[in-house]
Amino acid sequence: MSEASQQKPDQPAVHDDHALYQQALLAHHKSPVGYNLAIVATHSAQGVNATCGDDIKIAVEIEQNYLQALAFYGDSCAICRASASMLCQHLKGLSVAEVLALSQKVKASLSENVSLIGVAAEQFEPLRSVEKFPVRKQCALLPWTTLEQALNATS
Amino acid sequence: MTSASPWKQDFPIFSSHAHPSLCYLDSAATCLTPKHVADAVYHYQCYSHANSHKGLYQLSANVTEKVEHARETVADFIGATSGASISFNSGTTEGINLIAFSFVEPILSDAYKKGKPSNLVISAVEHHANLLPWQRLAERYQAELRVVKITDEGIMDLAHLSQLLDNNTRVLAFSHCSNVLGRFNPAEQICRIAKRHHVPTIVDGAQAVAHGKTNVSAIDCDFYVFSAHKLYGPTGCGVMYGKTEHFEQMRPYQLGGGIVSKVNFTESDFVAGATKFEPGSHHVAGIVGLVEAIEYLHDISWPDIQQHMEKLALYLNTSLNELPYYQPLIVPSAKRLAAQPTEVASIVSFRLKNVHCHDVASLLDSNNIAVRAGHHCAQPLHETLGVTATVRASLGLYNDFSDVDKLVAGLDQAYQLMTG
Ligand SMILES: Cc1ncc(COP(=O)(O)O)c(C=O)c1O
Repeated sequence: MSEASQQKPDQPAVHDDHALYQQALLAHHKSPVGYNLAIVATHSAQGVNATCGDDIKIAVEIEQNYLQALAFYGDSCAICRASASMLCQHLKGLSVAEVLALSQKVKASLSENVSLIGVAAEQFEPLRSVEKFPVRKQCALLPWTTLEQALNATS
Repeated sequence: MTSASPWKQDFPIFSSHAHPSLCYLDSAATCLTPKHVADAVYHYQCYSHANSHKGLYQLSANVTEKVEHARETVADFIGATSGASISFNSGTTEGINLIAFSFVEPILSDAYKKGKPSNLVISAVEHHANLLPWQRLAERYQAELRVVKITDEGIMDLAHLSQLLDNNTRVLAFSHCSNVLGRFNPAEQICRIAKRHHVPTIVDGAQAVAHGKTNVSAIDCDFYVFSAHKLYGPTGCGVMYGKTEHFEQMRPYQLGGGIVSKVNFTESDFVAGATKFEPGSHHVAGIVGLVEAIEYLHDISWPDIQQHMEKLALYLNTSLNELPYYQPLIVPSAKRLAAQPTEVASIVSFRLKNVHCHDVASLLDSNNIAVRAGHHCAQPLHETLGVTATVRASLGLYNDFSDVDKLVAGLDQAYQLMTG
């Protein structure tokens, strides 16, 4: 906790540009897309962050190599939940190959601070706030690594 | 005494060029360092350092003397009758492993070879440090690892303990105070029960030693272990107290220089006593820091420390209880609080309704409030209580009412933000 990143006490976290919990991210947390959605899943996987207790399941319905539906379940922090929600919102209709390629990019943007470009940059912008919070990157990453596991698992 | 901490100024971390507005509520993980301790380590390292127990020159002899004197200071601090019962190591974790592999393993191995069944008993609140070594041994010798239940109040269920101990119990290992629930076990009573079954006892004192006078002679345990850094001392230094009568039969658990009386290429004779468990060079700076920490606490005096901590713990617990969304892991019963008003835990683990504990900790961090979130190295306990993770706030000498107020305001802000 360096003094440089310290906030002034009279400034609630939400108004700060550097804050982790941006409005857009909070919106996903409060009304998540795909949460507990009943879908006819063809692929699914369970992901756990042992250190913090995030525990989610990602399920997808794949038809002729396209993701027809996505859903997530489980108990996690707001960062993980918002990340899963954005994933469910934006990946619907893409092919498995497109999703895997995009997943690589999102993961790189979270773990190596590689900028996203194009549509993805806009879609996943709210996740960028974790950049300055290294310990929380794993929370944002979990849905993506879990999704990859689901796609790689045979149905 | 006012509600402000009279000792906060002793901790340089709060000085204006460092972290003046830090609200540190994670003393159960590690205590911040008073200047006295940092200075003692610095002075030792700059002006007195040499290898102890090895050199024949005066500088080294002085260091040897320091370490040997430290055994007496530590013995006195925990109510042991002699420094000969004190062995230095790197911390509670090493202390428990040492006892597991030098004292308990030979007993298990012997029983195993004779085809006798064995069991090891621990409690449900144990830190992973006091669980994993026993799991390893149980697996290796096909022994049963038995877990004593805890009561609703978060202490060991003594009736259940009596049921679990039998003639095949090779050891009982339990924490004096839980690092999650902050409750003290009745260690004396527990060791009495174990003694009736001729079961040796190991007490994990990591969380207990900073909160009041420890008396290993009254507890009458066979072993007691703790870490300097949970006592305002440095990390990397810990203590194992053991009844000296056990030392002879124990074999060293790590091997190296300084613990042998005679060595040739086929065999070695080990030195007698506590140094047998201290192979290699001593962590003298750590030991010096530990002694200074003990002297620092001694100068303040236990009655003053306890008076401050009890008042603060009560304020913490009452303030948190007023929050409608506060969900403590253990709810102290009104009956107990009335009977033992001073026995309020200075460690509290809790959740906020509908807010994940990691979000709580992150939001508190953004207000410069340091708490722990997760399972605090006691995952099975969390499972037993039906939750995956909690937020933990724990108190130290530097805390005062204003820290509690900041915590409560921070929790309120976090709850509003995440659920509002
Ligand atoms: C009850 C208990 N036992 C053991 C340990 C391990 O102590 P150390 O990390 O100093 O070895 C801790 C520290 O977290 C503890 O709280």
